[in-house]
Amino acid sequence: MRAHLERVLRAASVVLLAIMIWQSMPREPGRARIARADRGALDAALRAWTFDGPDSAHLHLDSVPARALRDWLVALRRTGTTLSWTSDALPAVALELLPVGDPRGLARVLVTGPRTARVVLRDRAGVLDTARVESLGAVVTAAIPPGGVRAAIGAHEAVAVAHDSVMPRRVLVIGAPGWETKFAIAALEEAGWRIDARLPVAPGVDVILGEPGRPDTARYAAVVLLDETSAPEIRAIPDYVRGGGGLVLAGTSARRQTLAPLAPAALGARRRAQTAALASSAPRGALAVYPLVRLRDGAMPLETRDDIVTAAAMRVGAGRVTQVGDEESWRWRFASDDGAPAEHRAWWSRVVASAAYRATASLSQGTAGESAPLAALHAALGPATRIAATGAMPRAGGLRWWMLAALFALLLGEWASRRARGAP
Amino acid sequence: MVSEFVFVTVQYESGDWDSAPLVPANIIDTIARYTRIRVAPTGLIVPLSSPDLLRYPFAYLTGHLPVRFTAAERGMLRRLVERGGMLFVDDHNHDIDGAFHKTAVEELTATVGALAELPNDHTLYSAFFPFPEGPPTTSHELNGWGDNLVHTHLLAHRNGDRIAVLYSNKDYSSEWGYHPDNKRFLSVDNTKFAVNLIVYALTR
Repeated sequence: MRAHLERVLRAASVVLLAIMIWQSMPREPGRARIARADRGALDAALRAWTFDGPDSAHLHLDSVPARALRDWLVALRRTGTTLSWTSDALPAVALELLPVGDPRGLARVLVTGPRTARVVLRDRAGVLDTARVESLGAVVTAAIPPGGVRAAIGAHEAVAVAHDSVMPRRVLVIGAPGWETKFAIAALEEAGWRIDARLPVAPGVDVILGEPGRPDTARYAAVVLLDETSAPEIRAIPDYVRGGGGLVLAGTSARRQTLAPLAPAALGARRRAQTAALASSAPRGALAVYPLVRLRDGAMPLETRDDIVTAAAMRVGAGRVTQVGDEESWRWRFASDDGAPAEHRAWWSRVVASAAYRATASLSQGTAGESAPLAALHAALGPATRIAATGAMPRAGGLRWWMLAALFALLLGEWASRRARGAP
Repeated sequence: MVSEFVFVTVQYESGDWDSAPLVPANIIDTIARYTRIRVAPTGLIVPLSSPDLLRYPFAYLTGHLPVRFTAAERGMLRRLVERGGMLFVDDHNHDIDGAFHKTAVEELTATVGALAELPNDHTLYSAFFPFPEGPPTTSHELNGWGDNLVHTHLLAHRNGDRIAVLYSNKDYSSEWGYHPDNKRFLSVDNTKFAVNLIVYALTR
């Protein structure tokens, strides 16, 4: 019985050894050939593989291959070559350029990358800004540069260009002569908006700035109404908004009967200004305000203060209406904080931009790079090979540790059995 | 609701800042008479060094005596102008050799910058009533008082294209320094230019 078991163990060892020898033998040429391309050698490898394609190929990358090389790899895979890849932790840097409705031709640059990575943004002229990636990414506002923006984390780069540019129209302001009107106009002009204004100052006498005319999206990005002042242009506003125009209803202007249906909310009871707080570092919170209450369906709060809504927006037809409850915002500009004038200016510009009609012009800018290179690599080749995490190359065939262990176990068992029964 | 316009006279530590006490009431009357602008029925006196000045973006300064601003007054005036406010300064002496003119121009230049002649086709002269010849003459100029000159231009320091400081040698402080009830005795209201001044300040 024991001799029989020993013969079985010996036979199993021989079979296992035969399998291992077979696996370690070179494969038949053109059938099971494995090829590798390390960093920097991809271009030459692809040329060789094009004429003599392997069964499988593995790439070890230190940067994302150019689009042409990726397309080449995809074509190679479609001829039957199995492709896998590993890398030295390529950072997932990605970039997007979104023009904003700002008269200075600004764009929001949205960049993402590994958390806490430092991203350097450049254009043709040099460094634009640097940003530290927070939880999801970083946002920088910059003028749209010709030739696009490059975001670099170390040597890894993403490139994005703006595909269209917003052409801001003029802004029509209607309000009674007063500090609010004067400084709202001043803030918008300082921010780069071109203003037409009608300011009725006496019966039959209007102060005119620019050439105010009937609201039309061909001429105006937005109409700003600062109070309940009457003007001939107001009648055309509902049609203008439904046709795509922007409307800013400030202060009590939403009380006008013809415009009430366009307002995102009703006005609550006025909260008085806290004059003493204008000297604080947060003067905005001290302004008098009409809380926006009973928001309509589809209206969205834009700003809140002390649990009250102070700004809201709503789509009306093809246009947008932004309503702000702040009254006497000019006092913000004159607050003691040194940054107050700039904040007041930026706020008014934001309010108008939030409603403004945006006529866009297509930009035919080509780009020599990609906005999300690693994503493009994944899209082309699939995810990186898991085994690559250890730095080892994947192998087809070859010795496997469990075979070796099983072989030793079989031989040890057979030898021990023989020695136990006293056989040589 | 549009907040009301408050006519502010600036109180400064040197000189006689209160030399024209009837001017505010007269101008307030004129604004109410010709325009829809909501105007406070009485004027206000605000120290030039007070942060309260920033609550009133238009202010009037006059006097006969030498003007020397304190550091606090300079700082507040500079801040008012930088934020977009406007100061109207009138030489109550109507005398370019007088103490007020020499010292006030010196102080204003040191505080906000140089004053230059304002062109007579400036928007100020058409902001409400038309003044195609520029600033209206005053009886004090025509009667040969003061420096015996008819000043053809006002001086201004501009912040961008907006007037930040308007300076007059024409002595409007005397011209407008009477009780508003007496306006009815004038064949032509001589305070009309004040409407342009206030409308300009509130709209440009």
